[in-house]
Amino acid sequence: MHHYVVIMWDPSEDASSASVSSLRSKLVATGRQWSCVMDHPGVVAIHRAETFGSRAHLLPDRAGVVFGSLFSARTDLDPCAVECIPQSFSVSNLFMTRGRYLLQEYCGYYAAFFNDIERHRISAVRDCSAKVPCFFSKLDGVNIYFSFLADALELNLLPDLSINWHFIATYLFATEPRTADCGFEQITQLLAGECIETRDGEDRRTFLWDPREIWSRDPITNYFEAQRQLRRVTQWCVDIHALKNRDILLQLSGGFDSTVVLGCLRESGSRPKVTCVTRYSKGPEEDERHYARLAADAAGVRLIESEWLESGLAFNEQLLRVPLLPRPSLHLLVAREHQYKSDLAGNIGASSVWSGEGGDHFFVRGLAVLFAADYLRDNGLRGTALRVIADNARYSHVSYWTIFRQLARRNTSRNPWNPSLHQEDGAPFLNLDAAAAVLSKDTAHPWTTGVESIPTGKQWQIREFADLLNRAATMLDRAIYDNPPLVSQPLMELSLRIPTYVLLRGGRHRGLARDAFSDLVPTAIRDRESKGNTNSVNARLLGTGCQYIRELLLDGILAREHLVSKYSLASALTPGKPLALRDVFPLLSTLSAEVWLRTAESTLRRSAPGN
Amino acid sequence: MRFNEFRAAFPRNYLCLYDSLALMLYLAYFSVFPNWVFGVRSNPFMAHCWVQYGRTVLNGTDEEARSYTPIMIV
Repeated sequence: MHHYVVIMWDPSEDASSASVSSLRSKLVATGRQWSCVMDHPGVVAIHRAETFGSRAHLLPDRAGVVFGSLFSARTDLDPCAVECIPQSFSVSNLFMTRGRYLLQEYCGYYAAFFNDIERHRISAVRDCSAKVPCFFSKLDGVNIYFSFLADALELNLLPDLSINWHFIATYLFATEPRTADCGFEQITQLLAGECIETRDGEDRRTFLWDPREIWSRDPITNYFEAQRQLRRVTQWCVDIHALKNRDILLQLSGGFDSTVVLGCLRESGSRPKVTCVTRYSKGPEEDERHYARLAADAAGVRLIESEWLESGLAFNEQLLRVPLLPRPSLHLLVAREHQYKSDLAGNIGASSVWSGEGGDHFFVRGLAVLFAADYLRDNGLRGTALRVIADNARYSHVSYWTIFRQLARRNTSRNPWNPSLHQEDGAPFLNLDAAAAVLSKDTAHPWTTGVESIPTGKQWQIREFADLLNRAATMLDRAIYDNPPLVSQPLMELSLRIPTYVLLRGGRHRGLARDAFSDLVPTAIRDRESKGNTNSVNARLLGTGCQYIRELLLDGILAREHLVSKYSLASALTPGKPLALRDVFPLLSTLSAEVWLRTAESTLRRSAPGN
Repeated sequence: MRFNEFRAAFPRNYLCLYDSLALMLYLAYFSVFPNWVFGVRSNPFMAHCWVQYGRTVLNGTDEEARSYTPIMIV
């Protein structure tokens, strides 16, 4: 994982000099596990070099530093990893474009920091795959960036922290809102593709990579061209990731996406060593070993079959033995599972854990897509309009008339189309007063605003991108990290440029991708419509831990702060009472918020003066 | 196949109970009498029904049907 800490300031400002001197001395005096990458007026950066996969690239002229892996963004050339920033790198272009140059010329997974001393601009950029965590805080005019909160706390860099109660209510309302806010008032995160630029003490947040702009660039409406490009770019993305990872543990679910990744690995010129793992349980739709075996046999790779919860995960006292993260997350509850996966990778000598994550979003799977509206917008009632409407009805499992009605409403209503992705779950345990204080804007990712002129299918896809890319799994510190190869800038951009009615041709999930990868994926997997889930694993965890969870929540911090309704929780957590599916995720969300609050309070208590 | 083609033209959204009944009646018109299977799963509780002829599921997928425990066959 990428462990780094960076402090940046405007060297011409006198006001911050005392803080700079204090923070700088803390950084340069760190133990041997840290190494100083850069110590220059305006920037001090350290990283843990011995951490697996951690890389630091210095920009020319000491303009800044990039943590992570960089690749040349030319998908028309052979994949090429950037081991160090070339002399041809144009710092002036970087400054002139305010960082866009980096995202145009390179792709990869990184966090970049640069200081334009001449224009008094300090900038931090997180690439659009957001695989490298990046959090931001401020102390007396000095910007502090870090990847893991534990590092910043250990180095004693941060201002006094206080709980952001409004964010906690928002979290309970919308389960992991994809916003920059964190559980502490003093910390925010950089979202995928975002840049924070500080000038004259003012922070300005902008998106250097914005899907709301990309979707309209040179759209690919020809089905066969789209198919060819999808195949080529996906292979390219797998190839560039394989350059950096020679031994790979691939999570093979038995679904389409992970099988595509395995097929592309088989075709990859760098021939990495691949071992697959499939997780299963005896619950309904949770045993996909049949499909995983088919895929592994076809690729000729070893398959490890491992039962869910083999890690010993349980909802009991072990829940509170988790590290403090900058914000609550459902991943806190399954930290042991993540560690199990990382250990498994370590045991077989793998350097990263891969999966088919991102396939649902880039190849498109989701019932809420009104792609017929996109077709009518581009082509009117000409050509195959009726065929597309029929496809849309089949895809969404509704009648033709429902699609006609939705299209008519879309064209006559002044209200923006809303696929109601988050509101489906509801927040049954949130106290009504707390719910009233949460506004819809608090839960929305910025990419989901100002999209009225964008086709509805693309609006849906952009919203899905925001969900995927700002996931919280990267906050967990593990020896071996997840690196899903499909989550790559070139593939994201290509998928945005292909209209949804092309991606979903034939009214099938991943319609285009099924054709593009038809020779790489066994027929039984290619033709699957269903997908596995872990509902019964979650329900079993909640059921067996019911007594412990009940005590933890009814006697907990959320109840003390009147953020949750004790009555609703007690009713749902009655021992022996079957759990309703609609309550599973809200319960997990409430539990993760409580776990985070308890960890945060105990950490803050320990670090208070006098302790 | 033909039933599925006509189905989307009927102004009512898919619902397993309603669709299975409609398919049963449609097939009865051709003197085909399959089984109407009702299944449940627990923790979390869910219920579903489908039409099955011999070992073949006529509406929905085998995978989905397999994930339920049949409790009644009509």
